[in-house]
Amino acid sequence: MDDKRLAQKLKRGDRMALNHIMDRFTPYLSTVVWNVMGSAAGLQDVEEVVSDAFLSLWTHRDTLDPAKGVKSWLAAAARNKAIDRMRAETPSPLPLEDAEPAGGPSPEEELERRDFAGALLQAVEALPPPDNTLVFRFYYEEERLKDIARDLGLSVPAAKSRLCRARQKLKAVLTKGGLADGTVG
Amino acid sequence: MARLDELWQETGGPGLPPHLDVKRVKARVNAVLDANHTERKVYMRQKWRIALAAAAALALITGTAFAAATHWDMLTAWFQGDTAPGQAYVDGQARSVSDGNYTLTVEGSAADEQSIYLTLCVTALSDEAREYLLSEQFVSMDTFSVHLLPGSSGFGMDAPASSGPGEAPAVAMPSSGPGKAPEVAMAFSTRELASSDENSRRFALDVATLPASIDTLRVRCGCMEKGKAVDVPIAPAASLTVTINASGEGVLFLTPAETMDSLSLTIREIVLSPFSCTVYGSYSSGDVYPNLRFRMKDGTVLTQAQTLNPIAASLRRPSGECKYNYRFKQVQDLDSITSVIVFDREYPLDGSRSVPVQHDPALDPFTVTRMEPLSETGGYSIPAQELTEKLGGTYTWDAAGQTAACTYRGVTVTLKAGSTTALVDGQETELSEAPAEQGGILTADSGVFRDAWGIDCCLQRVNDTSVPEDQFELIWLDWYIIP
Repeated sequence: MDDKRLAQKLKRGDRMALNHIMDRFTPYLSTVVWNVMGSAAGLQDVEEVVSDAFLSLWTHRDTLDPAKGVKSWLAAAARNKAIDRMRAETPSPLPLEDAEPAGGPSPEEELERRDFAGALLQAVEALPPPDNTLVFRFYYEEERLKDIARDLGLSVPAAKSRLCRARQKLKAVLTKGGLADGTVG
Repeated sequence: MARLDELWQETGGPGLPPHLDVKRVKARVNAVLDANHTERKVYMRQKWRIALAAAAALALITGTAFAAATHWDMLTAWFQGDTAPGQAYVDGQARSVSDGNYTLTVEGSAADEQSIYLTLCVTALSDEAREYLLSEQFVSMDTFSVHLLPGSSGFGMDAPASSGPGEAPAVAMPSSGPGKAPEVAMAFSTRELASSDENSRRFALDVATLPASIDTLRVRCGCMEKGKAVDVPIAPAASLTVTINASGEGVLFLTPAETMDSLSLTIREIVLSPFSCTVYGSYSSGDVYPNLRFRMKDGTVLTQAQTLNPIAASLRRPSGECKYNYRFKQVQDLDSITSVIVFDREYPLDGSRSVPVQHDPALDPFTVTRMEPLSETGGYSIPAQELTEKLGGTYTWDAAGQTAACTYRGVTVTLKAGSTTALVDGQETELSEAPAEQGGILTADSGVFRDAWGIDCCLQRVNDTSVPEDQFELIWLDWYIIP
């Protein structure tokens, strides 16, 4: 289901639409919030800010323009709320208990992952259209390739080819930026 | 996150991508919204709701349908207790369609002039289809769709343009004037049922409709080939109309009385079927709802909260006309109801003259202190003693056992601080959250009382006027209880 249709359903007060939006945009919003608050922000802080952004979307759904979808609205809300949170209090740094238990990454590794996540999202958004939309909808929103291809006026093989090239481009950008380890892919 | 993991790996990301637990985010958001009684009611009913296109635009469906008999009591998917009074209206004929990958079967149906109830089964016919059927992706907003066939003169319901947060979707009304096409938009809710077959998933689906002649309903499954659908003939159960034509005070749910100019509500008529109760009238404020009671043949009087589920569908037109549809908790034999009581008058179902009844203040709504949530992600809790005693029940606290016994309407709810197991008349029931002491007061989730005693509980709220107008915030007030 595309972003606009979700926005239409949300505007009608459909809570299932909100749940779909949370499924789809939580990974994206968490990266947006980490970008604003810094990768050392605690999971709890980020979770609260992301949750607040979704609640804000629900309470303001009457003002949504379905034609614009919800992604940009959510991103702006999450950024604003993250900034508000930082103004209101000093974000708690990544506590040890936020790190995954034994076998998971250390706090330092977690910071590294968050830095990379922010850089990856920035690199995706910096791709030229329609590749930025294609990559975002396919990898972050997990939409079906044939639906994305249809919306972007591409054939499925062409979309696959663009995805492949976009991955290579992202890898190159991130490696150049010193974030990718340069050994994978 | 599987695809993001893939992108992460291919672009040289360290380890796995960091992410929030989506379930925790959803739980947090839903808990906040569900602290609002009406939000929760609507959410439960809205699951998988789908708005439909105009019936006139529907394409003709091709496909082979076949039928078989089923003997499962489908009404138990919606109604408690004895469903015998509704069995005469159940069509137990199973109707199926297949596309080679899946079979969609409508196992049975029942209807009145307000709603249609269906039980469905989707069966996978290949390993690939089975993998998708059993995956989380199968359950989405587009899993099923329901259409009125061209020629049906029924009207659906959709979210109202004017409804506020959490209000039930309203019914789209037919356009006035002859020859005009109806405003068709339909909604339904779906719940998954247990399935004993590893290749199948079963669902209960109810469609809310307006009272109109609906001959056939067409059901599709989104994973099936386009054009495959099951047509279900509809034969509504008989209904009975009680003329009221009176005005009086209604009840509130979310809005505190002191903020209201009027609690006035006019009821024109009430339509009863074995499955539902529908109130037609007009309102001065959309926040005011009917408060009905039913006198049964044995003389007992049952309140609305004891008898009816929360609003299943509502309509409020700018002209002030309104309609509220409620599903009975138990299928009703209408012969067992002698009258409807509203505005302190009793309206017999046999059409005889209404008579005044003495106002019972014990059944008037009241407020109870709002207590803090029992967990970080939970909704606000309710103080057990204050609730019980304001209802006129008895409350006993056993300090040694940290146990409270709360009795109302002859039903005892026993709560133990810190335990998620409660007793309702001695029967164990699991609570979503353990009761806890807050400042020496035992508080619990309101749901246990609502379910055990048949009362309505909701948190009232007002807009926070201290924030700028473009930053909508709510201030939560006390619990509002309707016995």
